[in-house]
Amino acid sequence: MKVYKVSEITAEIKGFLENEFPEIWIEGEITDYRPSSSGHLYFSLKDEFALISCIIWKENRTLSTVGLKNGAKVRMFGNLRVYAKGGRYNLQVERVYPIGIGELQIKFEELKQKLDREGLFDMSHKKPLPKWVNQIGIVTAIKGAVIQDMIKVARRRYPGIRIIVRPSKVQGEGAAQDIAQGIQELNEQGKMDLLIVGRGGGSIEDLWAFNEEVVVRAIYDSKIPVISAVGHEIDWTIADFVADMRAPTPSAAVEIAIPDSEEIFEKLSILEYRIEYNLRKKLENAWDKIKSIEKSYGLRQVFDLIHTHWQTLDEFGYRIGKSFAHSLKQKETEIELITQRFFGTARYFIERGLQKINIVDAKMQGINPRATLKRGYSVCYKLPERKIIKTSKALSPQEKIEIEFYEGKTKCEVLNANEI
Amino acid sequence: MQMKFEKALKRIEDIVEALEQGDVSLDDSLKLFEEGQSLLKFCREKLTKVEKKVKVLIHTEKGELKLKDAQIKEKE
Repeated sequence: MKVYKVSEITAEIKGFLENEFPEIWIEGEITDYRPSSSGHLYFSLKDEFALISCIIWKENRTLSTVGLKNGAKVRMFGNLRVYAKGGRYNLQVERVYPIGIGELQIKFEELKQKLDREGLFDMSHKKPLPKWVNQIGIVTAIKGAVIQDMIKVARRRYPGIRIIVRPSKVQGEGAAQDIAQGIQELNEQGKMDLLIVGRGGGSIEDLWAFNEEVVVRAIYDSKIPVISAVGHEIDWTIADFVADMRAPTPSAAVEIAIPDSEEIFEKLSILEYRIEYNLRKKLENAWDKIKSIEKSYGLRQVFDLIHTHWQTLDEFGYRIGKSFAHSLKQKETEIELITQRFFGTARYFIERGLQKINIVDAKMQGINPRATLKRGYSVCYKLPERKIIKTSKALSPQEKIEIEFYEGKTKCEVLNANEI
Repeated sequence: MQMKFEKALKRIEDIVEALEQGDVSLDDSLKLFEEGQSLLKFCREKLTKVEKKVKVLIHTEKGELKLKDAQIKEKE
């Protein structure tokens, strides 16, 4: 009877096992999942009746670890190793495939994790979108409804927008290279405020070009902010992660990229009103100040004094001599002139300002209020005089009013006038 | 005027703010008002200007890049 030493039999087992199973595929459920601080991953794979311990060495960590967690069903590739000192055998895992996830999904996750580690999705790299755009570039298929839709939306929002389309293959052989090159070419064109890169909906295979590294890197390298717009709301591609902004659809990308000119018109009107209001207030204040100086007791006193003296002097005028009276008269005229000049200038100045404001007023009135009504506002008139009401204080219960909408009008009766 | 729209809009906002601060002289207020007026005009013109410019970036036979007027029908 041969008596083995522990190390002897272990060596034999090791030799046997490792030679017999140099590479195996194995399926099971993950349990006892333990990532270690050293970077190696330890866990066990089990089925109903047995359990095998597994290791993913740190060096192998570049492989996808998607879906590695307790309870996950996985298929693994690796080799068996016997750990003599511990009297255990392990599976050294080289590849992991979560069961129930397609191969593309795995490729997707692998690339995403790799690029994420490289920092391609870092928020700090994301460029802010410009608030206003003059010219945008679009990389997409030149044929089909997608580009037509995009142009239509762009025109509606801002008729003056300049669009440069870089036609590109968006699926199949060479699509990814074409898209990447398109992004680069539009960058080289310069004067582009923003890029939209995308395509319409399709299967995961159709959208695949946007999960290719070359596209992702081209977006990352773009000096111009990029909006990704691939497929529908539910479709996420890696391009979406790297882009400065992700739009759920191509036409939504245009809405994000291009401000609505109607909204800006409204904003401009508000700004104009505020400028006008403040200037008017200032001018009116100045006007009031002049009026009050003119009417002031002090100023009247000066004039009264001059007049009194004038009268007195008139009486003695003949006796004292015309020359003196003349020079006095001159002095008075001078004072009057200075006074008038002062008020005259101020008045002229203010009148000029008010005139300008009136021009603006007229212009504002020329703007068709229907544009405002179209946005859902309405005008309220008091009946029977049809006077526009600006405050609820102008109304009392039972009074009749008319409300004008963008389409049609309605006569109403006031129930409660001052509800706030 | 080769001014950027965004810059003009920002300037208008600054003008409003300056006027609302209240410590601007009447003379300066009028100047700001005038500047505001011309900026508003500029912005509105920019917004209403219709260029209908869609171009495509294509490769010529020689392999050079060229901008060409697009023949893309707008969807009705």
